[in-house]
Amino acid sequence: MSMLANHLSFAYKDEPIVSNLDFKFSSGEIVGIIGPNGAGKSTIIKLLSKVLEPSFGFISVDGIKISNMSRLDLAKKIAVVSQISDLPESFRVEDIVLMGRTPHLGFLSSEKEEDFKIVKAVMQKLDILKFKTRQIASLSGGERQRVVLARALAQEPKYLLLDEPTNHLDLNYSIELLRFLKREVTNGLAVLIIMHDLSLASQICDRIIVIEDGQLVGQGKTEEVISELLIKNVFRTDVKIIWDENNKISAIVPNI
Amino acid sequence: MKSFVISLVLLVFTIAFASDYPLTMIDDLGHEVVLNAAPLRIVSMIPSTTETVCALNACDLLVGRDQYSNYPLEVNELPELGNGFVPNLEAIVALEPDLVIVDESTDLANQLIELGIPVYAGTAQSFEEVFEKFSDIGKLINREKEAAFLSLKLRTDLVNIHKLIAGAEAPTVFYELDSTPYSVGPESFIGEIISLAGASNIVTADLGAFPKLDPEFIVASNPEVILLADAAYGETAESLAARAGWSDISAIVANKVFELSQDQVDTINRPGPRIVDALFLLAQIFHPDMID
Amino acid sequence: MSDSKPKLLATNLRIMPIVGFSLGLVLVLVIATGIGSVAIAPAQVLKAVWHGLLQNLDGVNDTIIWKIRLPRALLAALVGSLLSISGLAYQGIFRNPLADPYLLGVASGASFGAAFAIVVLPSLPIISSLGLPIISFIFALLAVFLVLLFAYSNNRIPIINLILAGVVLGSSFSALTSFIMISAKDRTANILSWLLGSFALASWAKFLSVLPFYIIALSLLLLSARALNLLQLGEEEAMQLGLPVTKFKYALIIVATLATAAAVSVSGIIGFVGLMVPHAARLAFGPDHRMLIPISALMGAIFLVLADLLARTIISPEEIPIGIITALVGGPFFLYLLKRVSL
Repeated sequence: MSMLANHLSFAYKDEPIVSNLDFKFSSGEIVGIIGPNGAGKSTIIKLLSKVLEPSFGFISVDGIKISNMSRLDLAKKIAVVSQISDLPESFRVEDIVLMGRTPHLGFLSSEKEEDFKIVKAVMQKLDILKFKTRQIASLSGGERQRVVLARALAQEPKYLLLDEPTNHLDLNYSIELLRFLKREVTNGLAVLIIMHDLSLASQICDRIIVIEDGQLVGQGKTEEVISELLIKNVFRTDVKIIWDENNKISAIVPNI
Repeated sequence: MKSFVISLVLLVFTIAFASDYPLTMIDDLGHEVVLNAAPLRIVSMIPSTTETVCALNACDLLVGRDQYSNYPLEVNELPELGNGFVPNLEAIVALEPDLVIVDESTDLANQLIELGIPVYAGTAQSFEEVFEKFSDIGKLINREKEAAFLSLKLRTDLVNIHKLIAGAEAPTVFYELDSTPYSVGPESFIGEIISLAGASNIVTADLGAFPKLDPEFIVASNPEVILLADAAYGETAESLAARAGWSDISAIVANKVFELSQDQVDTINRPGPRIVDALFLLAQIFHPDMID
Repeated sequence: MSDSKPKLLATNLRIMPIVGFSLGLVLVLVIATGIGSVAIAPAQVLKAVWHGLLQNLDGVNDTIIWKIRLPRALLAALVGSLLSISGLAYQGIFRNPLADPYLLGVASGASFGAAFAIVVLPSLPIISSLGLPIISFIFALLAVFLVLLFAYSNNRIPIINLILAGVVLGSSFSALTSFIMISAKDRTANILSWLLGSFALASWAKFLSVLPFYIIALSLLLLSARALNLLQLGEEEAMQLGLPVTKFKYALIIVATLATAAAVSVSGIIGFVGLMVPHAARLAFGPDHRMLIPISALMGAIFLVLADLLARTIISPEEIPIGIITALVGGPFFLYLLKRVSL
């Protein structure tokens, strides 16, 4: 079971944003997308979640092209953890998380017993049940991030797409979030995550996709893809990679 | 003279055939007005109609009036019932009128019909129609004879005024409704009176009944007489002279700007029994040397 | 967790406030029906309503209560409700509390449509038929889509563009209405009579001509409540949760515009109701549209019945245009909102 991008291309007003991307990710793995700002990473998530339509190529999930699926059916399989800056302030935490049940409810019916149970479990798992009736406006960045993640998990997705989820988080929250994802993946979730922090990315991701100017410039197992040369070429910066005894990356530090 | 004869014939005709109830009449909206008996509780929602009803010697039949009806003075005692656009519907109904006379351009007529109240909708839109309305209203309220006499009297007065000003040179005139300035065209009711009173309106028919004029046009037309219907709102001969470029207009130079009182404006505005007064007033203004 | 009862996550739909506001509406309807320039004792009022229900009217008081005051109060309630739910819908669609049928130019479009109908189709019986609401609706739709067209910039609709385009288009439509009035001299009074925005000529016929539009608009909006909530997350997020956003938005714009046009077609332009009422509802009951739609519908009805009561009693027996009252309250309210909301 996997999600697949085939020759995926997208142009806006004849300006190519991403071109000819081929990749897939599957249940049980965390795949990271890295690349400099403006490389087209967020566009990939928008394409995968059908917010944008590809100008060429296609995307399929579990063998079905998403262009042939209704949004509701797609939302049963794919959930997106978007940037948290735009959450409506006056809604309460549980209102937002309950919205995650929409794909299973449709728009006309209201939540049933089952939905409340699932939502409660998710909130418990992310430790936000204690402030379920608080308004979004009163939450910190880290708390908001957990609310958005809870909403995505309430969708009970098989594929979870995250757009720089650690952006607004303190280090301890970032690590907590990544640990959480790691656990979910062992339960069968497939995770695609856009990451800014290369050290964190190389520690959490099973595989890495490198994007530069909308082109795919490398993909594969993290330790095979990430190299000092690649980072110099793609990010235009000199770094030193520190490897541990198991031949895993333990840190990427700038050469100052 | 011809109209005099016509009126005389009409008089004989109406006396011969007095009002007969139940009575059916078609009003200006095309509705059938049915009255089973002579109305005894009349509401008038039009100032000119209020004046007409009183002129037909039926003032005592009025039980209510619109807020603008103010003539003859005794109607001020009657309850005020709003106006055609914003009527006080429940107050009208509470008076239990057996005839309400309304303007044809508002929705009030339909509303009253729906409430089961006899309605006649219509106002005179032209000088000649004023006389038709006398006869219609006279017939409705069982004052046919009075209506015929009224018409006859007014027509006689008209002939006399006409004689007085016959042959006089027509001064050019500008009639100002407000300082925008809006004026009146020859096809409006006021425009008709102006021309009957022996003046030449600077507004031509193609400009419409109530055109908003370009001040340049007024300066260029150089009217010999100016009538201010907006004097009640503060316009004066002095304020006119102070308008850019107006000080050289003949009427202003010759001191022929007339500030009309509200009562005079009402007299000129209303297509009712005071048309002769209006005509006489204007004829006096236009031809002071021929009438005194 | 200490509470493990089934309804541990209560939805925001609370019944008691809705029942409370419904009772409030009944109360103000009773008051509005009981008060007028003709003094009628409360017992007589009740008797008249009873006679009316039995189709057995007897006497002037019955006529005044059943055929004049009650339809007037009900029509004011209906229009207040329509304006409020359409304002609420526009605000939800555009995610901005300043969106309002009046500011978006929709009301002006609708009123132009009605003026157009009165002049061009004079055989249409004024106001009392379904024709006027429908023609108003067509022009209101035209107005809203023109506003969207001009406000659209780089794939989005910045709220400042939306309001500016709405105000400019609104004045253009008002200018067209004035032009029609001036050129159609013999019908000027008819248009004026209708533009003044008064319930003085309310009737059961008018009430019944708007009622179907109200039922349609309100039902569709109630069905859309959850989807409107989703939209508050942002368009992308709503799509990712399964909402066909574009289709839904256009459908909802049509519903909101229908509500506006239905209101404008019987009452002329009454400003600010669609702005104030939803905001008050949000302050009191939070952002959930499942609660906001019924509450706004009821609050709007109550507000306009009271405003109309004021309009016809402040200087009784004369009336002041109801638009003056709503604008007197609404103008300062808009400025207050402007201070609070960043454009």
